[in-house]
Amino acid sequence: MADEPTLPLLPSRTGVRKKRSRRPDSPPPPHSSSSDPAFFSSDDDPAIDNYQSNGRRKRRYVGTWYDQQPASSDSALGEEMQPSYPPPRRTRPPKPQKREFRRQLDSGVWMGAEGSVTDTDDSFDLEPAAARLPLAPPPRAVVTAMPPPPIRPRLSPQEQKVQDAINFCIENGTEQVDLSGMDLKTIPEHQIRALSNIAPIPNVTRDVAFEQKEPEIQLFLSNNLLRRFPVALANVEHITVLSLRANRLVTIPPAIGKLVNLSTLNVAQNFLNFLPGELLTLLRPGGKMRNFAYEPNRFWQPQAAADAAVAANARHATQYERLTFPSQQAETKLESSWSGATTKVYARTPVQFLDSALNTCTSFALPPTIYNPPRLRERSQAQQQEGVPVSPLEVEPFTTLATPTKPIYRDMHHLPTDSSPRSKHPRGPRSLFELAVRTCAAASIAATGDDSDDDRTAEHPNHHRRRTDLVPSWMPRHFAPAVQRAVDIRRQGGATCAVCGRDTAMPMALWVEFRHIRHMSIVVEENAGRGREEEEDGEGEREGDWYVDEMNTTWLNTGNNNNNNNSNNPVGNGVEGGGMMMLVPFLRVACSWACVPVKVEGVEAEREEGR
Amino acid sequence: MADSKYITLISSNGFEFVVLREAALVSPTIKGMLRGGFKEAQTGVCEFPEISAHVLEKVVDYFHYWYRNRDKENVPDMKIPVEMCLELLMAASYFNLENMPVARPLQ
Repeated sequence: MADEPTLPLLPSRTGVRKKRSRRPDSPPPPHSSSSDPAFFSSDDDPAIDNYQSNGRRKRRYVGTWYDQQPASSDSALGEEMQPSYPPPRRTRPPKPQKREFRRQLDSGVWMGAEGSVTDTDDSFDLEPAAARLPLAPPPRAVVTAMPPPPIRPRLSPQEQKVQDAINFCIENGTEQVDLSGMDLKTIPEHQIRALSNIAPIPNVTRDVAFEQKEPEIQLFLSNNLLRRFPVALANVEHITVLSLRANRLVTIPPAIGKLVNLSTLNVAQNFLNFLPGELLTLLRPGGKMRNFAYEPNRFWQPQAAADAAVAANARHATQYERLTFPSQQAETKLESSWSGATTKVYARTPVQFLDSALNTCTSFALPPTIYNPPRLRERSQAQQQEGVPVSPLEVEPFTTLATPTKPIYRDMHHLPTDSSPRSKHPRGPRSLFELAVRTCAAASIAATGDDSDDDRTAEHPNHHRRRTDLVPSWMPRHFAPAVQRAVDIRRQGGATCAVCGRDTAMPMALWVEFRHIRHMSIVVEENAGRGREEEEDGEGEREGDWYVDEMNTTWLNTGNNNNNNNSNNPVGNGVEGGGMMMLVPFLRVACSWACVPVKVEGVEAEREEGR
Repeated sequence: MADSKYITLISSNGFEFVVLREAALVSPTIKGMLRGGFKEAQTGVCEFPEISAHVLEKVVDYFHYWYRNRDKENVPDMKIPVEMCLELLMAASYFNLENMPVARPLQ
């Protein structure tokens, strides 16, 4: 086509149309090829008219449907779509119509704009499907109980009250959320999440610099019927006061260690057997915890007979504190004077070693918790015994370690005579089994929803059946409890190794340490050279404390421990009053058999060498 | 021959993986095979007729991951694909990779 222009002429498209051989530029003359009139039977056919009059004319291209002008201007759709596309091939430019600014009542859109179109487009973007374990389908009970978020189940009157209270606080900027005495058995997770939205309304006045204040949420949940600590609370980081007094809590999850801003915590009058070791990070010197109320509860208590021998040696207690993790953090020097609640270790139980099948390998075993869940056949028995006070726990001196009585095959390889390559650090790479268990747990949580539905599962009749169907039945039987435990631990906020401080999905060792909790003040003098160190209560050996040497400390006893808390004083089994001080059990876990709270010479040497 | 630096692991479908001997010794199972007068000890070739290649590949990955990081702290976790985690659970049990082998005398 030599005559084709380099650029197409815009108004006329003759160059393009030339290609179409069936479209002549001018209509052909009638009866172009023959002068004979038609005399076939199809003559009567009215469709023949198409072939006769003035030749055939192709229908004019009128453009896309959305370029059409609306027949009447009150059509909402037409006006909305009109400016969106300058049509590329418009035969007739549309007459500019004067647009009116008026509200379109039926559509709810104020002005037709592209934005409204793209908004609807965005809503079609589905979220990527969560990774799912290709095993069992998620348990049906959970699926039916957990509808997709937009369709919330109707709130019960109690939940409505909670919702109203929280909404009131959010709207008014009130930081005190009073949910006490509402007979709550559980708090839905989305309501707890809503607590994060509470923010104080800043005071704006003249001549005062505007200051954005961190919210200090005070949550009162006392006098309710909560059986489980709402784990979602741990994500509301600005909680400073939390009262769980007079509930029915059996455990407090490790996730509470995330509430670093907590200054007042009240867990009194519950059914707690122990406190999580993660709470100790909040109870260290320099922490923000001021008031910590914990009694009465059903705390485990140590055997009285062993006390005197164990607790005598404060030096060993110090060593123990150094070995366990939160106190290592606590050795950071305090900048200024501090007062608050803190703890001091008194004794510990022997270490219960578990293998990967959750069998106990020691003669000592703690009562069942989420870390050492009871076997299936023992579970009903354990539930019956829930609430029954357990007998006092055995106590072991800090320096000794009752090692596993039945060394299992796989651990025989790590005896010191073995020349195989070993990791020098307990915090080295994790075992392949643990990595796989973690992945399984993460996947099954993703499949069943991240909701910490322990309230539902606890009351669900098929709860036990659920534990087994995470892992197909053809796999070895000890996998299911290991994965289930990892799921439970993850839902509870994770477990932190007491010795090396990293989180673990498979705690391999557990023990309980008994601690005194007391209120303490540390006064740091400015010119503190090598000053005196004094305690008001005249605790036996100053050496036994784990505070920095260059600090002048004054120990004040206030609060509920104002009697003699002499360490050498044999402490009765939770007898209150009479000068006896409550011992509080903290459950500690360790990520491997190497992370034990006893200093072993060989290990320490190798650790130092490795650094 | 028995003391060559590398050993060969053969999967069920015939894939061969040549692994650093010291890295593979993290598994007590392999160590047991390579010790004593077994055929594997002489040839340095271990066959695993129960384990398919894609699982064995991941296990070999782990051997080297462990070997590379055995003296480090705060090691990032090895990524495990979700669809393989059950097979790797089986493999970890088979290779006795359940407890971390650290220098710690427990008797």
